Amino acid sequence: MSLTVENILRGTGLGPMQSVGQMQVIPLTGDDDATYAPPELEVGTHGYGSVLLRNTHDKPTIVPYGAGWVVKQAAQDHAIASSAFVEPGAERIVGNAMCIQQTQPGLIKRAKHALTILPARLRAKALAIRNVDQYSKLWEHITAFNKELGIESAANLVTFLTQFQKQLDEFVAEFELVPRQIGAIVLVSGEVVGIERAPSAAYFAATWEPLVRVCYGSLAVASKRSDPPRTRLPFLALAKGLDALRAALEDLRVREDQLTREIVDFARSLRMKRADQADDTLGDAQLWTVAGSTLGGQVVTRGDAVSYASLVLA
Amino acid sequence: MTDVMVTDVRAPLAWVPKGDVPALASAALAFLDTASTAFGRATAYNDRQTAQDAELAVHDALLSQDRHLYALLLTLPGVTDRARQVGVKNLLGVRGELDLELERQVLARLVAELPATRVFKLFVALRAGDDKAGIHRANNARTRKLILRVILGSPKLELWAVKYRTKMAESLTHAWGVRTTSIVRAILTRGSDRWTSKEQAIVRKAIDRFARDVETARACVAFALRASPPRTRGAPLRLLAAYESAKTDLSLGKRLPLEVLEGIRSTFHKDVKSATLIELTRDTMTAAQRMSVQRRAEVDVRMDPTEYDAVRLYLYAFEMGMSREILDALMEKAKKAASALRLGYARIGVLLDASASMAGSREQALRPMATALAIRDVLAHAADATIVRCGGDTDGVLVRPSGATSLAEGLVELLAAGVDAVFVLSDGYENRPAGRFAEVVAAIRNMGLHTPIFHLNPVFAAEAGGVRSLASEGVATLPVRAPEALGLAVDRGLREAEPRRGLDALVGLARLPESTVSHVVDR
Repeated sequence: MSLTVENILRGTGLGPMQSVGQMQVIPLTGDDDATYAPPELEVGTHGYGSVLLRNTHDKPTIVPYGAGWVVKQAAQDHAIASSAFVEPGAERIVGNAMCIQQTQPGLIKRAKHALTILPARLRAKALAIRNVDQYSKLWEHITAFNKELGIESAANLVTFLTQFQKQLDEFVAEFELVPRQIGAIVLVSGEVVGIERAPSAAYFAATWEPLVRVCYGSLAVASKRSDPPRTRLPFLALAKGLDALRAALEDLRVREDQLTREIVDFARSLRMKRADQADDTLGDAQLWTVAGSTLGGQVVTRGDAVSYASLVLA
Repeated sequence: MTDVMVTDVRAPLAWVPKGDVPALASAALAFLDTASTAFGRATAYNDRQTAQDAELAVHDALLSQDRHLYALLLTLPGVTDRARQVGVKNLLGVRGELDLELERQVLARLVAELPATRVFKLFVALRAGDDKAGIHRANNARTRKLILRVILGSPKLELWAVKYRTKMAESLTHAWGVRTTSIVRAILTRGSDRWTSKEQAIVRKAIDRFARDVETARACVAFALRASPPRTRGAPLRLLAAYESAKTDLSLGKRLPLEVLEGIRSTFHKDVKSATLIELTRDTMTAAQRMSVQRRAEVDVRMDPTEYDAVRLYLYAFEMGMSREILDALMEKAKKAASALRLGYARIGVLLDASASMAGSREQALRPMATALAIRDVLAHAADATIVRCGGDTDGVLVRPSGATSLAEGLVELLAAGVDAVFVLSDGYENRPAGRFAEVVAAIRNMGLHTPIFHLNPVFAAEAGGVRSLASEGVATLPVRAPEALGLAVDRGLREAEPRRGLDALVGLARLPESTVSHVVDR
């Protein structure tokens, strides 16, 4: 069974591309599907590798894969490898969760902790080993990830978050949500590195900060390029007057819109294979893992409709 | 409730720069950016800790380079209460070579301009330290004297005693030490006619020499320390008496502040509804309390919009809707502020950034937008203004932030309208794409068009160590947190290119009190 990005984007519109440094975001707009609440949960750890999730909303929610909780308590930060449904008012224990802070002992006290979402590359690794029942399963990947960024430390994601805090904070500030935004196509260095579709604008708003800050921000941080990406058109006006300058700006906007459509058309054509079995179900909703040559991730479908999708660089 | 008793003196202050003037100018400008926009709180972009670390680092940088300049700049108009609070802490907590008399005057000025709530918060923090506010413990003779002079010398001592009883007791304990406080408390439980000469000397040293009125000070200290003083022959202080009477008959406490009476109600009159309390204190409510009551709509308490600053009125209007009365007050305030502003331009363009990030943080929701709107109004009254908006949704005067940031087209539109100067009101984050504004400014300058462009930024950005610029060249980026600080911002922009002249001008603006009396604003 296969799935295209065209299926995922069905029913969405495009906002104007936002572009800062190596990162670019094309907002996806659309109507709210009120079925799901944002993943604002009470979270704690029962033991190493065991995360308790409590949905305090009166609607079910989808917890994104690679969701993590980095806390200020003297406790071992954790993340989950696969997405998960949590029913309204219900608790759910994810028993094959992962430690993301090797050197820190202690359990997370149950509370509403801020959500983070693993760096895109670690998120993909985590998804691949989602069924492995070992709390240290991501350590070697975290160590390698840190090393690539010049961080010599144990498998501790906090080291990365601390070292690159300034840049990561800037990503949050620089990319703004537009009205009715329910998703985004994310580019780094001119390449599509992620596609996000949420059930509603409220859901997307709740996940956007951890996505742009850590998940995709990490890719921008890792990019060694300093020149603007080819998808960020320069303004090279040699205008002699303000009217000519205005015309040059208008022309540039037209070309930027055209470029945005080309990028999205390319993304639409991307095809992914769907796993044979659903990872989770809730009523008629099913959670599937999908993978293609460039992007992979998880989607939630109800019949043919896609309610949720999160695809990152495979 | 405002009681500013300090006379402005443009003191002929002698200041000679030490060391590298450009480096000092850079530190001073960063300081001004921070001191006029940072609140030690989260913004839309930085969490509280990040914002606070950056803010305190900027303070420390100037303090270590030139303590004299640091102290003087803290007194500038437009410096936030938060920056003054940090400044007092720094000057008290860090030893330096500054002229002690000058520093005492600066401290008096700074404390005099802080609201009483901040003064007591600062004093309490100086006792125990307050990590959340970034204030470390300070306990030295200057700190102790300042606390006693400010509290016991205040004309509002009685009001403070009932309103900030616990904090006042903590502050006095910090100044005297636990042992002396205990002794003073024991002495005050007896009538002064029964004090030994040694006890009289203790009270004179601890209280009287700092007091504006000795009997009032002694009574208020006794009240704050819960010393249960004996009945005196003279008339009791009205608020202290009202406080005691209200415990048995709530109506006798109607002259007390609402929050004080609420405390008494919750302990001694649990059956009385809060609406009754609002009725009782209708005449003594502060402007902020009247605004809050209006929001709750429990009791019809008249709110006079002219009593509030424009930013607060905009924030209120965002929440409750814009009314004719609020709009009139806003325009009146803008007109008044504009009359004191000398822009020097007949026709100006105002480019208003109303993109999503102007909504600010949850902690201070919509404050950047409210500030930008208030400044827009002042500018619109200060010259013949053409206003262009980028992003946002509007129903006329109110603009709600939304969408992405694309300011370049607006800039060209204003320049094409033939304005003499452009004022851009923005948090400095641009994304359609980032850098387009700077590219267009460069193109404009290449065309030989040198219309001044001022970027007025109401948002402190930790990662920028001040405010964020839209363009590194061709635009003066100026921090401004409120319309009242617009004059300072514009002055800074005009002088940015000449560091020494700029620093001298800023020192010239510094204000010290005429006398050493410390009177604190209670608002």
